[in-house]
Amino acid sequence: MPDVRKFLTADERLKELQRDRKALRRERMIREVAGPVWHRMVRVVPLSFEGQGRLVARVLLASREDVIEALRPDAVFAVDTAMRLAHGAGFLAIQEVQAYLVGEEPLNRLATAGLISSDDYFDSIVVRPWPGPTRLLACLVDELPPSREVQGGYRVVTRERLGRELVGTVGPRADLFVLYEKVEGIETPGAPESRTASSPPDPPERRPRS
Amino acid sequence: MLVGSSGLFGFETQVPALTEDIDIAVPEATVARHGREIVEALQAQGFEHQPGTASFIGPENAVFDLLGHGEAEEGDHAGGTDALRVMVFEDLSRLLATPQTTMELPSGGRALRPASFVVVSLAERAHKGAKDKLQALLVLAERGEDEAFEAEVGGLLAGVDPERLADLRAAAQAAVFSLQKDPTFSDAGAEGYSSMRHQAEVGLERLSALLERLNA
Repeated sequence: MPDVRKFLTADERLKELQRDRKALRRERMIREVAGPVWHRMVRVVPLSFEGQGRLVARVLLASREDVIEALRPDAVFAVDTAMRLAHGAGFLAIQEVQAYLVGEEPLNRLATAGLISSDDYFDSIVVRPWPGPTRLLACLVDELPPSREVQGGYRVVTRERLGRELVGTVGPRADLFVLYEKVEGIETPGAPESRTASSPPDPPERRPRS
Repeated sequence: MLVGSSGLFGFETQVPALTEDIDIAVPEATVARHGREIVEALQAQGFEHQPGTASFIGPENAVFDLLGHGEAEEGDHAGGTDALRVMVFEDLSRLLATPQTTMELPSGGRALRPASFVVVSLAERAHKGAKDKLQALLVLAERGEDEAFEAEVGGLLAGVDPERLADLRAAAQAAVFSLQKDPTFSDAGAEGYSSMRHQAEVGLERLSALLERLNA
């Protein structure tokens, strides 16, 4: 097979570098516009929901609320669903169900009850910019992550993990991160009603229940 | 001087370089003065010069690139003569101006010290692809328990201006994000790092802690 590698001249490399610098200037401008929130957000180590275990997508055959209720004993809700259950507001436009589960038993139970499809749905991209049916995105894990209990008795991921999941799902989006900070009541230096503590404590953490 | 990904060949590490091309930095002044002799000497050893570039292909198709280092104040620029033109990077030039950032190799020549490798890879060309950032994070994760190493990295980071530190932090986060998002991670040359996601996260946590200590 012929070698198609292109060797660049020093001038071509310099042009490439100048393009990089231009992109960097744009990033710095975005950072400047975002203000202090950018600096807080970029300190977060992203956590990929789908990377925590085996991700399974099932199509919802009932309302989102019914599926969430049916999963209540088994699931630790994650990502957008966690934020909606905890605070009534989410950060993704499409309202699906993201949850950590141990094993497939809950999926089989919900399928038998006619709440979700029996078969896996081929498309398990968490944030999809194309249309499709509303899904349950279940990340099957060996052990449920640490959680907190919110109104209604649902278990959702901890405050800190939710921030990491947000950045791990949509990337460093200052507009969404600031929403997360606001709904979680995380104090930000210089904010109008800032308290002395940097962040209110999480409600008592619940250790994983499998 | 071994630089770029090839810096990983210069010290003991489990982090694979993945790419086989070798980057070697030479003083810009040497290239300007002896460019033609360098090309001829390499050709005599069987390395084919790619005309107009600073790339050479060896007898067994090993590729290596020459680049220059010089006065950091002159910024990024192309140096050398028509016989051999090299790219001179400001960041690398600044770092190499301090002799303690490099070490002698047993087989001859010099290489970046592990801490210098980490800082150069993170800071150089902040917008560059994720491969270099991931390599740096993986070395940070691997050597994180080594206090002397960590202090050395902290010392080098302290010399980077605050805006560049913000670039560096964002680029490192973006590299980890890219790795997490794409299970078949397709950043050129970095595909083999997809199985090292957890270690890259550990490296990012360590970098974050170091930057916190610098109040950056």
